[in-house]
Amino acid sequence: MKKLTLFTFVLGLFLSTAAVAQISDPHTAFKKHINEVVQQVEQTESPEEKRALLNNSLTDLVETIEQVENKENVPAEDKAQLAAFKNDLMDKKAELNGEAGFTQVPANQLNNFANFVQQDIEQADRVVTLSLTSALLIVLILLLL
Amino acid sequence: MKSVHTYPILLLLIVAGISACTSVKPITAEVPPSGTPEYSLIFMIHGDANYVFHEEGNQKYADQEALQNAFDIALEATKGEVFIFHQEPENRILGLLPKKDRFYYHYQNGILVDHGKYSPIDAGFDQEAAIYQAKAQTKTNENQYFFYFGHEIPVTDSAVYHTSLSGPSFNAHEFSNDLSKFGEIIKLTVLSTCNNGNPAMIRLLADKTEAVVASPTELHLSYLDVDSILKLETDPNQSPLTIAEQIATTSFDRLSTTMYTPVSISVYDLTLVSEYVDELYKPYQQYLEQTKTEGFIAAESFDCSTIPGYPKEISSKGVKVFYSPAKFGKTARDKSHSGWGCK
Repeated sequence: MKKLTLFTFVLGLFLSTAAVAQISDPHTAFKKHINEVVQQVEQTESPEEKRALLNNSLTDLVETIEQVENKENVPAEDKAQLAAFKNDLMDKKAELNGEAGFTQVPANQLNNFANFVQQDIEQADRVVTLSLTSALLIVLILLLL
Repeated sequence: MKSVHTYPILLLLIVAGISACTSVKPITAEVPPSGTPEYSLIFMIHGDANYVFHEEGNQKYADQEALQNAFDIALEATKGEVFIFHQEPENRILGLLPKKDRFYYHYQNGILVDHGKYSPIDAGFDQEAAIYQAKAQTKTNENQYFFYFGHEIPVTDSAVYHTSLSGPSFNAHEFSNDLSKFGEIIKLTVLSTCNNGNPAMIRLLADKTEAVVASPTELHLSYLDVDSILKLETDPNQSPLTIAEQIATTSFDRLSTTMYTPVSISVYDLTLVSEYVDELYKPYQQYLEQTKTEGFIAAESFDCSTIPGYPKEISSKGVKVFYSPAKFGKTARDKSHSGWGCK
């Protein structure tokens, strides 16, 4: 029983440390999340699964941003920025699936497309100029998905 | 009524604050540098924001990568001197006293002769310029080259730039104004940032530097490759435009083969561009006024030549453009770029 309690305590401590690390630097945590998705896509062999992974990830991001946009404590400046970011992600999702006038990303280009999404998000200032509050909310919601 | 202990404590805090802002710790070079430096390189590396990016799955910090590259160049600059300023986030002891979290390194003839910590005194480069002016050996011969690595320098105060500093933000006006504090005319200014190849920034730099390398669109955090500056080792009087084109070519060759986003790098010959940059700026200003909305919108930069009334026919004079379209996305169909970005 004592061993179990100690294990639970150590596990709780580990999880809380990981959570605190993400909370203290949400911008990095967000980029790390995107990187993990790209790695998963690259490690997946089936093009259908790759496309599904990207599609689900982009859907999660869009829904997360929508949730954050609707929070009262999010600064007005962030809301405009989040709206632009969400539109950009929706365009990427449309291109992935060949919607809204885009040609569908070919099956043999899905790894490259995943890298395109990552490079575009990382180099644009739209992520790093988000307030800590908004970045934190995005990361916390993503963690819960 | 104030305690008798209040004033000595206040005095102590003031003295500590002043010394924290101004003191540097010089070190002695292991080997005395030989020969007067023939050129001066100034690296300004911003690190007071999030600079994380990934390459092949590995997490990297853009400012640390830029710092390492600057150190490598400094060691090989045996005929010049190199100043490296690393603008790290500024912490405060008990939320009051500046902790001196920024670093400077001074190399002379390939040898580290001095380094230290400092605190900023404003959002611009006042403190860095003061350190440079106090220590530079080459400040009188005007053979100076300035390299800036960071996020986009905004045209106006629309976003927080230094995440650890409150108060006025950093902008293009402050950048151009403070550039003059390093030298009257900088031979070459390299802006390793997103979107600063725009009419507003180039206009502000027109009488401060002979040539500029900048991106009119977004630029990946792996930044520009500036090793070509070491051509000065064989010819310190080499034309800044020649060096600028070498920097742009090397950077473009790497970025256009590794990036799926658009890559655009422009080289501006300011002796020619300054003749007409005002004409570019006017329609850009009108566009900004027309599209101005409340709050900050992270709009993407676009080719200025699409603005109505933009004088396309003159805007290519003195501008060399290196452009590769995106492999995906809306801009994949844009096969060329004027070299001028608007946002």
